[in-house]
Amino acid sequence: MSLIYFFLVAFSFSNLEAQAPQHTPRELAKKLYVSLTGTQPSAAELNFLEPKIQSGQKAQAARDIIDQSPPINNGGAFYSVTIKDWATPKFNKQKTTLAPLNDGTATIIGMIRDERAFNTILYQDVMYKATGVTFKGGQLWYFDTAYPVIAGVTPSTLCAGLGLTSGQFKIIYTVPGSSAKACQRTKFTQAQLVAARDIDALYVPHKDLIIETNLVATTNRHYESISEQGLDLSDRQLLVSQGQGSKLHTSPAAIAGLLSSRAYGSAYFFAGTNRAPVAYAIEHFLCKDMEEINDTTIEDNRNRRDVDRSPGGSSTLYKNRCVGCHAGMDAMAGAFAYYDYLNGKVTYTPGNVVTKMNHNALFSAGYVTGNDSWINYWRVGQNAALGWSRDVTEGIGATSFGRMLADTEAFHSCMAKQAYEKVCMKKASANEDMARITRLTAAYKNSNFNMKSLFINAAIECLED
Amino acid sequence: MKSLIVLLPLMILVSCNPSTKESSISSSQATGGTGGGGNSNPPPTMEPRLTKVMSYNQYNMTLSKLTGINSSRASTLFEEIKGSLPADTNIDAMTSFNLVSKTRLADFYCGLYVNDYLAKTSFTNATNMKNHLLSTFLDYDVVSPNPIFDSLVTEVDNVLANNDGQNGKLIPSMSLSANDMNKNLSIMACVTILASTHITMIE
Repeated sequence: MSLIYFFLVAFSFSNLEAQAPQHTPRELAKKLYVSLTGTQPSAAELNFLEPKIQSGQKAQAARDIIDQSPPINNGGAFYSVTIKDWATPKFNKQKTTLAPLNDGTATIIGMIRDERAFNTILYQDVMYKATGVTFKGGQLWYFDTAYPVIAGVTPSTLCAGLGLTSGQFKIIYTVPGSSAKACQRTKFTQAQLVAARDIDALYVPHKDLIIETNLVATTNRHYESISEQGLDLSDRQLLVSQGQGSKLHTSPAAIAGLLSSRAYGSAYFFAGTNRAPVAYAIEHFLCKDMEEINDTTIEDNRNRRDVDRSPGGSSTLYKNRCVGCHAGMDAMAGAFAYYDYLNGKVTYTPGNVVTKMNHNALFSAGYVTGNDSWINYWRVGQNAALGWSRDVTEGIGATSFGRMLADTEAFHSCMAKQAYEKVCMKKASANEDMARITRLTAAYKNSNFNMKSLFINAAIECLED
Repeated sequence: MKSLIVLLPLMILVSCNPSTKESSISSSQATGGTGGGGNSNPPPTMEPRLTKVMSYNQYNMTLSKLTGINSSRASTLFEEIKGSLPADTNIDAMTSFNLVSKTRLADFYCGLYVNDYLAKTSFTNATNMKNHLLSTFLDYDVVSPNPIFDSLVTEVDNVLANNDGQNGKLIPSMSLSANDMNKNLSIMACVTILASTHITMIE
């Protein structure tokens, strides 16, 4: 009798364990909301989402949350919280989320928001920044009723009906992309407008706000100012796609998506030996650290002179350990031979290899970098599993290097894994996690590398866990 | 210093809230998810989705969203204390410093929120204020409230009644006017909700 009782109890407990937790549609709506935005929904938002979950429209509900379909209003938290926290560690060696918005994170946010093919992000000419009119370059003037005529424009005909009172200022500006003039009453004082003009700030008409400094090549104030003002990063009139050529680089050959952004440069081009941009690109975009891809079987003819061939007097250590990373990494790092980060700016000197690439000649017979060519020695051996494509074995410059990385199978599965871990808030480790990531990767590739869809699918995968 | 005196009893209240952390830990132990020890169950095939704690960014945005206060108004305090808020959602890394900082941030948003609210709507009675705060910040149905909020409701009732839950007063009356007393208690009730596990924990 007691044995039967034991089995009954054991069965009832094992049955409890086997059951997945049951959630009501309202609970699922809340989980989906929190997963995607990191914020708590209101009762009104749950009232809107609950029927969609109940009728199986999970993906639509997720899109409503991200796109803030009324009555949903979360200030663009999917972008300013979830995506920003996901992207920020890619641009600092400490891998902290505590760093402010920068051109790299803003570009990732913009690419995801606009649902652009994310596999181009390591080589495309793209940078997202706030748009508006700059104070410099004759685009924008300000005045009050004490200044009746500015540059031949009569305010009474342009700005009738603004109803300015004493001390209020109107801004007249040239509409971007046209010669037409527009004007707007502003809340700013003359002193604020003068200060903004002096630092070449950006005036954003649809928000009537000033974003500090337009000089994104030399300072991060532009992006910090956007963060400090708590602006909605889902606002398509605010963050706009622009080429890097106009703001960051004068040479088109320097442009390599995120890899040539100021944020990436400040983290990985500063000092060092320019191996960091390779190592961190592989870590952040292929989800592999150097230990994992260490391969001592490949040739080391591109290992530079600063790599000691007998550390501590032992060449065995070099052969069995050091070469495993350096052989592949040094051969790729040539891609960054012309990049540096000096005085707060990414510099690019075509034809002139930066000094740090060839200093510390510990081994005089080592490789001397003479240009920005690179070779991928990791295409064979254990690292062939990264899924290199296009039969690209070598290239010139960071653009082709970024393209090679973005075309690997590892890049796609890495994005799927990171999205899954981000919105499911856990490390992917079990077989079921891996099966889900495989499914997510396939769907991501079929969606033309749409990261927004990937995050939505990832959140749905673990919704009922 | 003055705000710290107000915040300390609040923190005790907040920390006394029934924690979903405890329930998640006990449930994970029940399923053999952590610890091991004498548990002979095989490990689960997949790590269960345990309760998480809101990271600094998530919490700041949540406070901004629920109160309708633009985060730029809290940016000075946020920048000052964000290093002592949880860096990520890992509940095991949570410290008492995180709790102090969360309460400070909630206190800031609540100060603005209650001031704005009372500027538009006068304080009528504690019940109305309680229902307003709970239904604004939580999925709380005033007509048929979910029992999971019972403990929190009791604490909010206590706060609005200026009761520290141990037969003492949260704020000595001294020379405060009735309006100021109601405002301060409303702010504390707001903090009690926004710093509670119902908001700060993610399930």
